Amino acid sequence: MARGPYVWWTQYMSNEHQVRDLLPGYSLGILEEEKKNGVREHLARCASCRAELASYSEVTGRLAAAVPEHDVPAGLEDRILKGISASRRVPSVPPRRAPWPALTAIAAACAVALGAGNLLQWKGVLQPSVHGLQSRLTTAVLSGTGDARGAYGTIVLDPADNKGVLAVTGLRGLDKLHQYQLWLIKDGQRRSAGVFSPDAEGYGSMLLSVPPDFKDFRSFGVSIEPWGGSAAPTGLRVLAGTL
Amino acid sequence: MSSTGAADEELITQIAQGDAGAVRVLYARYGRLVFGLAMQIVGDSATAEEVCQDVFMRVWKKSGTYRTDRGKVVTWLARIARNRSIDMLRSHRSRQLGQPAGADEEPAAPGTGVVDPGERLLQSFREQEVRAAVAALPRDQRDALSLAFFKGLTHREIALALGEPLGTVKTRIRDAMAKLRSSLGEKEEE
Repeated sequence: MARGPYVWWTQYMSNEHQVRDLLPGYSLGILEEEKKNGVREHLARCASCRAELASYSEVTGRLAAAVPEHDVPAGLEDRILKGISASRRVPSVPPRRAPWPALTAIAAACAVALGAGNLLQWKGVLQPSVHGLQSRLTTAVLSGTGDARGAYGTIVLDPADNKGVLAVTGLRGLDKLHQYQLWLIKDGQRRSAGVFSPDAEGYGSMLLSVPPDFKDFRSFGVSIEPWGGSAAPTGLRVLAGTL
Repeated sequence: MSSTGAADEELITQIAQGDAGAVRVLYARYGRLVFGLAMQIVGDSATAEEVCQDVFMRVWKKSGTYRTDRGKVVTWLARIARNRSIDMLRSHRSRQLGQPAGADEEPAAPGTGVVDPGERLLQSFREQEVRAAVAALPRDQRDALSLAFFKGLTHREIALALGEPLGTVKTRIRDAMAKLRSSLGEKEEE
């Protein structure tokens, strides 16, 4: 039956122990295609296996970096640099000092605190992984107001990378003409930080760009606004919080 | 401006910002390593040179993917060089296997070209810590790991080359990597 092998393989790959056994081979690049794809799929959703893989990849790198050096052919440097100057360079960003892992760890913690849900979506968006939280992150807790008293949320900002995340829960669904809008508040002035729509269970999340002057914004609010957002708050405020 | 005194990570940042001069500095620092690794794996100078060019071009284009939390620049660079070398080797191997075999030749099987892979692994590293860690592995684990590391053979191909059961080969490679991780990790922390 065609379904049999597929079911077996799905179960196999869902077993973390089995995947972990394959990680040394994966780091060496010696798995057959089917297994390699299975491991890759598992890695996309498993932070602990990604960390495990990183440790094996480091071993592979250490071995590779320990082989004897060899004199290079004359002119190789010029040929490399000529190739580089002739290439159309894809714009690149400077290497990161693991900003996202810290944020992701908080995001995961938020997801647990909020009862899981769709925060897992942006766990995939944020580059996932590893080591603990870092002191530079700034967090704020939002509490429900008025008839949204059961709602709450968390904002995590990483000024070093100009990124942040908002996660909320307990918000009621809105009609198709409205969305929730997040506001940064400074001296009574409000600046929009984006709009979002919660899912059917009341969970909502959003990636944020942290403005350079974010420290001047001591308060945050979420209001109900026409779809796409407003220039200034016009609707009911449902969440509020301070840094 | 790129500087010959810049740390490796600074060079990668400069490359990510489009400073081709930083590639020159990185090449001066690690070109011999990349070429040496490629020579170890592909075995001929022309292909190793091709690998070398590919590696530094990749660094030029993909320097933004380097992550400081995933190891040093040199190990990142060495991994790229090994992967590219293995790709080349496999490409050559598949071309060879695609050629019609002569009447007196054995049926096509993934040849290793290495009489004593474990010994080769033992002799292949200049860095003392790595040599010691590899030397501490049991002989059968070294054999399997050598064929994986330098030849890029799959588990199945290694089993065929060594005449061992597939499961045994998987276990040997897994155990060898776990031991190396442990011993090299301990050294790093000292």
